[in-house]
Order: sequence, then C-alpha cells, then structure tokens
Amino acid sequence: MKEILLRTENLSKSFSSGGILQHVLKNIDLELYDGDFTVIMGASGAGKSTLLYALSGMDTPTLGTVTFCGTCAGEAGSHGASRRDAASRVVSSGDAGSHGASCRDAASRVVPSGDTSSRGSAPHGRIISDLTPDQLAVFRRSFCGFVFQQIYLIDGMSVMDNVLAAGLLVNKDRKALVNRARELFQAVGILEETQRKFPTQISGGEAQRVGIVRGLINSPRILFADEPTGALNSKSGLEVLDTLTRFNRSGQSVVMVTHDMRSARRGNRILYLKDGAILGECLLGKYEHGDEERHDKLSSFLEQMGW
Amino acid sequence: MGKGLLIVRSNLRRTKGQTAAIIVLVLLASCMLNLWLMLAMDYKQNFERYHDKLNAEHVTLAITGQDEEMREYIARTLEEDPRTLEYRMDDCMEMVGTLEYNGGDVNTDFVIMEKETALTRSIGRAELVEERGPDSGVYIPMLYAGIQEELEEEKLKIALGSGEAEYELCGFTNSVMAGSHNCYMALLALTPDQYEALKGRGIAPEATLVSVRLRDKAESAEYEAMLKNVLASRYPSAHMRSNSYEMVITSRYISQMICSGIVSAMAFFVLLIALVVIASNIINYIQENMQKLGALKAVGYTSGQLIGALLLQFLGIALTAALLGAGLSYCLFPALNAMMISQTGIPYGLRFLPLPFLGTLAVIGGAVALAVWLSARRVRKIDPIAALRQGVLTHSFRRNFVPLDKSAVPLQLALALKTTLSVVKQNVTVCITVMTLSLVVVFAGLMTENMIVDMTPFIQLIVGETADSCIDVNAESEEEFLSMMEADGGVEKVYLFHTADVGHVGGKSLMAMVSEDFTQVNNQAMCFRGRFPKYDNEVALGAKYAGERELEIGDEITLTADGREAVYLITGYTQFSNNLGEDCMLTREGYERMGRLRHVGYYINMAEGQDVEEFNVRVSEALGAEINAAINIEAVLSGSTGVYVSMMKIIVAAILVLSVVVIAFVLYLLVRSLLNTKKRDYGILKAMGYTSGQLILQTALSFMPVMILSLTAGLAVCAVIINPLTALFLQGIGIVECTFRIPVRFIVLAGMGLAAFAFGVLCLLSLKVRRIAPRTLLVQE
Repeated sequence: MKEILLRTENLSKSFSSGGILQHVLKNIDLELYDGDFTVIMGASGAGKSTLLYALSGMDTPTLGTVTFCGTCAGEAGSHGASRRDAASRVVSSGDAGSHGASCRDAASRVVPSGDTSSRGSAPHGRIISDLTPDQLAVFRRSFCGFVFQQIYLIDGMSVMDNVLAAGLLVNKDRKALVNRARELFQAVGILEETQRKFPTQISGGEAQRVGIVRGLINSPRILFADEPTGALNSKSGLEVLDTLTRFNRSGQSVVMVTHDMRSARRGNRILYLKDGAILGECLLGKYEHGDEERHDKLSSFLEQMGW
Repeated sequence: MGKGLLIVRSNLRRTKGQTAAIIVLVLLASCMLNLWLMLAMDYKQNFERYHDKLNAEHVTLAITGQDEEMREYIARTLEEDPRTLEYRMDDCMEMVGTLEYNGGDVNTDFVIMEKETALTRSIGRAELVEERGPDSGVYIPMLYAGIQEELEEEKLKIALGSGEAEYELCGFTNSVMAGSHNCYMALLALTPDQYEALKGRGIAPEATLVSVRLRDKAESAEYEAMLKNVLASRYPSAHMRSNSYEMVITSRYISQMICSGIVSAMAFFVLLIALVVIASNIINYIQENMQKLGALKAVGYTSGQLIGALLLQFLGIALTAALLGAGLSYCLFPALNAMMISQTGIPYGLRFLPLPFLGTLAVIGGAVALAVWLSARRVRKIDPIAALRQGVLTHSFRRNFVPLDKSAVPLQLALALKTTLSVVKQNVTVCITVMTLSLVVVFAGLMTENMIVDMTPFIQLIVGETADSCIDVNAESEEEFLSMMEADGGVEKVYLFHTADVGHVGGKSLMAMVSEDFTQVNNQAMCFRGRFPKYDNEVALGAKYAGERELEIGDEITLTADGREAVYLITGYTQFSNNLGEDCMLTREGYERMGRLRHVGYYINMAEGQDVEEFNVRVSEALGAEINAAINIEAVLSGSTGVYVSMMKIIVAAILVLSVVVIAFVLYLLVRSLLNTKKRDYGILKAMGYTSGQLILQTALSFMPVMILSLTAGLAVCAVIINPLTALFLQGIGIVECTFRIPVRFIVLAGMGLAAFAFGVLCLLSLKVRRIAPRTLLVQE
C-alpha cells in the first residue's frame, strides 16, 4: 500500500471579485501518494491551479484543511532512503548528507508549537493550511519543488544562481550543492556553458529544464508542476515531459496540472476537476512509451468526464 | 491635452505615495529657496531703505572735544573734499563702556546724545522703535532688544570708563550707522535730565559727532581713513571712534550672510535630491510600464504626448509644492528674522516679495522640467511592437555579480549585493544623498565641537586674542600700573595688547594691535602665515585686506598715525573678525615710529581661582581716573559671541532635522521603487521558500554597501574640505583660513549612527515586502 503524502479534507477556496463571491474549490477530499505522478486535468477555470497552490502551501484555503503526512530525508528511514534513491538514480550520485539535518530543522519550524511529537507520524501528519505565510515559506522550501508555466526564473541571475538561490536556503554546504546542481543539470541536458548564461539568453525549453532543476535542487517530497509545457513548443515540451517522467520513475512524487492530453498521459493517476470539485479519477499505471492501451483508456476517461 | 490629462490622472492614482514624497522634497527645497532669495534680494536692502529713510551718513566719527576751532577745522576739511555731499556736527559724549547683555557683557564705544537731538538730526538721525514708558532714562539700540528680558524690573547699569551709571530703560532706537556687534559704536539716547546729569558727573568726555554723507558711498572706507588721519594729525590727544558705511553694512549682516549661505546650500542640495528622485521615478516608470506605453503608442499617442503627460504630471506636482513651500517660507521667516535681528539691529517688516517668489517658481519649474525632459526622452525610443511583446530588455547581461557557486558570502548578503550592483540609479541617488548628508553632519559636528560645546576655537578664530582681563590705563600711569601688577600675586601674566587706529596710505583705515612682544600673546594662531612682527619696521597684515590689495608677505606698505608716516615690511598674515579683516599688528616701537600711545591696553592672565571682577574693581579703585576701562574679557565674550552661538544652535538643529527628513523620504522613494521593480523576483523567491524577513533583510542590505561607502568617503572628504568651505562662508568677516578642530570622534559616531538609522529605516520601509504574496505573482500573468 502506498504512503499518503498529502491529504485534504473539505478543501474549499473562494474569491471575492467586485462583491461577488466565487467558489473555485468546493469541499475537496483528496489524498496524494508517495511516488505517484498525479495529473490534475480539467477545463479552463475548473480550479486546477488553485488546487495545486492550496496543496503546495503557496496559498491558503478558505475552508478545510491540507495535511502533510510526509517526512523529509532522514526523518523516516524508508522515506529518506526512497527519496535519496530517487535522486541517485537520476543524477548518478546524490548528496543529501547535510540536507537531512536542514530538513529536520525546517520541519520543526513548520510544525505549530505543541505538535512536534507528530514528526514522522505519517497517519496524522501536520496541518499546513493553518501555517503563517513565513511558516508556509519554510514548508515550501523544505518539502516542495515547483515548475511553472511561465518558468519564473530571475532575469538578473545566471542559470546556476537561479538554482543555487533556492538550494542555499536549505543546504548550507555550498560545494556539495553546486555538485548536485551540476549533476541535475547534466541529467536534464543543460550544458555547463548554458549554466553561466542569463535566463533570457536561453531557449524556452532550456529555461523550463532549468526550472525543473531548481524545483528538484532541495530533493523535495513533491514536485508541483503547473502547466510546465504550456509556454513551450512541442519539441521542448516533449523534452520537459521526458525529464519529469524520468524523475518520477526514479521515485520522485510529481503533481502536475495540465489541460494537454499528451502531457496527461505521463501520469499514473489522473484527477478530473470540474466546477471546483473532483469529478473522476483514472488510474493508468506507470508510463511506457508507445502504450496505445493507456492512451485509449485516458481518452475514454476524458470523454466520460465530458472533456 | 485632454489625452495627456487622462494619462496624468491614471499615473497619479497609482503613485500616491511617491507623489506625496516628491511634494515634500520639493516643498522643502522651495521653502528654503524662497527664504534664501528673500534674504539675498531684500533683507540687506532693508538697510538701504532705512539708511535713506533716516538720511543716514556714510561716515560717522565721534571725536572728543566741542570747541569751535576744532569744529571749524573739521567743517573746512569736509567742505574742501569734493567727495562730501553734506555733513552735520552735534554735541555728544563719547566713552568706552560696558553693559550686561546676553548673560555676559558688551564692551563698546558709547556715543551718548540727548534724545531729541538724536531723533531730529537732519543727517544720521535715529528713530524710536519701541517706547517702554519711563519719562526719564535711556534709549538703547535695538541691537540689544533682548536685554529687556534680562532686566525685568531692574535698572540698566552701564559702566562708563571708571564710573557707572544706572538708568530706567525707556525704549529702543534704530540708528543705522551707530552700532553693530563688530563695529564697536553704540548710540545711547538719554532723556534731557539724564543727559545733563551725566554731563555734570564728567565720567564721559564731551565730544562732537560728525556725520558725513558722500556723493559716492563706495568711497566711505577711504574717506573715513582720510578724515581720521587728518584729525589725528591735528588733534593727536583727541580720542576718536568712527564707522564707515562699508564696515557697518558688512558687520550688521554677517548673520544674514551666514544664514543665506547655509539656507541656499541646503536648498540646492534638497532640490538636487528631489530632481534625482524625480528622474529615477520616471526612468523606473518607463521600465515598468513599457508594455502600457507601447500600447498607448500603438493606439496613436505620440512620443511628444507621452513626454508631455510626464511633464504635466511632474510640473504640476512640483509647482504645487513650490507654491506651498514659498507659502511656508513666509511662516518661517519671522523666526529667522527674530534670530538675525539680534545681529543686524535693524527692524524688518515682512511683506510679500514678488521677485523671490517668482524666482523660486522659475528655478523649481525650470529644474524639474529639465529633469523630466532628460529622463523621459527615452520614451521616443519605445517601439510599440517590441514593447508589447515585452521585447525591451531591462538587464544588461554584462556580468553575473556575486556568483553564488563561487562566492563565499552568506546567501542573504550575496543576493543583496546582486541587487546593489544591478541598480546604478539607486546607487547614484543614495550616493548623492549621503554625500550631502555627510557635509551636513561634518558641518554640524564642526560647529558643535568648536562653538557650542567649547567656544575656544571659535573665539580664537573670530575674536583673536583673549585673556582674563583687559585694563586700559593712561600712559602716564603705565609704570605705576605695571608695578602694581608685578606686586599682585593673583596676576600670572601681563602684556601689552593695545588697539589703535592707523591708516594705510592709499588704502583704508586699519585697526592696529600693538604689543611689545608678540611671543607673549595667548593666541599664537592669530598670525596664521609668516610670523608676528619682531622689529620696529615690521607689520603683520590682516589676510583679507592683504588679499584685496594684493599685498604679499615681503612687500612694504606705508602706514600713518598721528599725521606721521612710516614704511613697514609685511612679515605675516593675521585673521580675526574684530574689524572684518581690516587690521594689522605692530610692535610698540613700530607704532611709535608714527604716533604716541596716550593710553595703553594691557591683557592680564590671572592665576587659577582668581576673581576677575574683583581684580578689575581693585585696579580701578587703586588707579581711579587713570583707568579708562577694566574689562572682564570672558564676560564680554559670552555676551557678544552668545548671539552667534544661539544662532548656530538653531542652524545645527534645523539642518540635522531637515537632513533626517530628507534621507527618510529619499529612502522611502528608493525602497518603493526597488520593491516595484523587484516585485516579480521577490514573488519568485517567496514561492521558492524565502520568508518576508529574509527579503526585508535583503532589501535593506542592498542599500548598505553604497550607503556605508558613500558615508565613509563623504565624511572623510567633508572632514578634509570643511575648514576651507567654512572659510568661504566666513570670508566676509575677515577669515581666510579656518583652523577649527575636526571632530573625528563625532564624525565616526555620527557615521555609525547614520548607517544604523538608515538600516533601521530601510527595514521599516521594506516591511511592504510582506504584502507580496507568491500567489499574486502566479495569477497575475
């Protein structure tokens, strides 16, 4: 049985615009599992991105709770090992020696006072929807990685610095971190020369792969990807999807929002969102290139959902 | 124009905070600018107005004696000189005296007149400024108006020579030519009964007051020198005191000159900062609104219209603020006037002055228009298509500053340094502001250390020689006096330091300091270049006067006294403000080559613990009428210099407060602008897991390298240039080389304090970072 990483209960999110209250997410109960490549699909305006941000601690829900049930490396033996394995398998040699210690510190900071005893107790977890903005920031840096449609690299920093600016928040061992960044860059096909360039000097595909490296630099428990191929051409989009798939195969949990069927096919679990509620779920199994049966199953599911 | 107004309205709505800050800066600049222009264009002219109103003289001279033969000789001399326009002679009494003022004593030459004579003279009359009620008593110059607070119900005591007189204070007079803190002549107008009573006591010799109006007032100093020389030759035993128009106007307006200089400097500094802030705002606005400006161009707006809208916006703000600032200056002027009137002694009635007002609006409007035009020109380069596609790059790609993989700097500092090195305009603004502030801090420190806390350096520079007591004794009793001093155990040192009048042949009348041995004088810094005179053919000359006449050390000049001339070699330059730089130093033998000292002034250093007042009384009683004056120098100094110290305290406090306000506003604008520029970056960093505290720290730290470097460089440079700069301010009163102590400790502490203050303010201003939410960033595109 897979371990639960995130659990939501009655998750609701409303926005007020011009005095009109708009309910974007409605009482969502959801569990996300370790090692899954979860894809959230739905039509435009269905609340996909809102759900992603609520799950990742980027935003707080209006009602309901989001509970993080995972631990960081070193906290629970099997988890730590599996995450390290994930990184190692992709980048050939991982380095999370000092990272574990930082994560523990970060974890203790995000846990509300009096709740430290729950560390590592996956079944209960820690409620992140009640955290302050700064506690959420610490939670994000410790447990989450992000890949955005608009990529959001900082223009004034080199590619390498964009990655290290995220990594140095958690890992103080600069040398080890630089080595890990280089290995991740190598794994996603970013040349050393490109690492010294500024974001506006590289292609969209390269920039998004840099975004993935930045998302993974802190060995997050979950990598959140919001339409990662939305701003890319098909070739670059494919490269990015291949990269995400490779990392997922090696154990990295991924939650991706997309409205593109080609992207959705990479997931092993598809959630369909409509009018702020989960309408249906489709389990596909691990992605294999050229798996026509998988394609048909997904098409039929989406057709059923009215896509 | 209608379209432009729409853009202006939209811009103003979005930038309320920045607009308010620019208004405050321009308001301060225009307030000070208008104050400066009012001081420069009208305040001194007030003297001219009163000079005309009272038909005042250009040369005034009081000479002991009232006999007809002398008056006829004077009249003949005046009439024979083609420069004379008209003249008048009146009876008066003339005597050196002292009155208690400003917590000390004022020692000056009193010209004592019967009240009606003083008020009705056809030339050089006085006017009543204030009457207090008593029918019998004295009217004193308005210069000493502050005395009534000190007197309360008591009578005014005036020491005249070896005697003393007590009067009810009847009121204050304004006599433009008689009286200032630096020309040592003050008019006492006595009611008829008191005048007769004083005359009967014989403690103040009868004298003649000669008032001469010239055809050309520019010749007043030369005319005064001529008249004194002629009269000194003819009546060598007569005592004279004189003033020239040139000397009086300069000495009365020293404070106006200092205030004017400081206010104008501050006005232009604040204006410069306001312009830098406006320019930086416009450049940021263009960068941030590239797409919007591209869209406006795409729908048909021309570059001219867009630049015009910016001009309209900032000129509107600036001129509104300038109007308010000019109005504020009228509210502040009475306080400034009250401060300066204790030095000018001339009443000033505040009224609306159109020229300074228009000048202020023109300077502010012109400067702002130029700054806006220069910084908005780049709007012309915006290509609508490129801008709409966000194709205009804002990063130069020159260098990746402080690479995180190679640098060992802590993360937050490294990111702050990246910001520092990529925002040139911010750095320039910080640099200019901090440099300005450094000058203010160093100046404030200099004045505090050398004037407010310990007056000695100020006194040594401005006053010249100081001791504990000064006794002026008739030459006939000099030996008896010196024997008495030798026998007095309380006397530590006694030396001749006598003030006499000499004339420079072909030049002006000079105040001569005569001593037997200048190695004895306490203030050896009086001669700041070359050396004091040692021999009878040597002279040390006032540096300001020497500069005006292009006289070098080693040159020879001809001086005259008592109608005789002698040639002297210039051995050095002196400086102090007693006679506004028109002075010289001679040995006693040197002076006696021309004239004879009929009375001699001795300076006395008392032993520790001796009471100077007691000593003066003792000497006066012992030698009686042989003593012309016994002065407690410390009391005199605290009275006369107190005016400057009070003025400087106000100036120092005002410029420090102003500086704090200016730096706070500049930092506010810069932080706001930086946060706008970096909103996206900070959103990304927050999404990555940076906390608000870390980003606040980064923002504040990003200002600190330039702040600290500018402060260090600014304070160091200002510490070096502050003395020459202060000398420039004080040039008018005869100081050409300032030797004030540089307050190193004050500067270091102030520098550290300022850096800490700036960091605190920056952290507070950066709290706005908390409002940047990562989600806002993600949904805005």
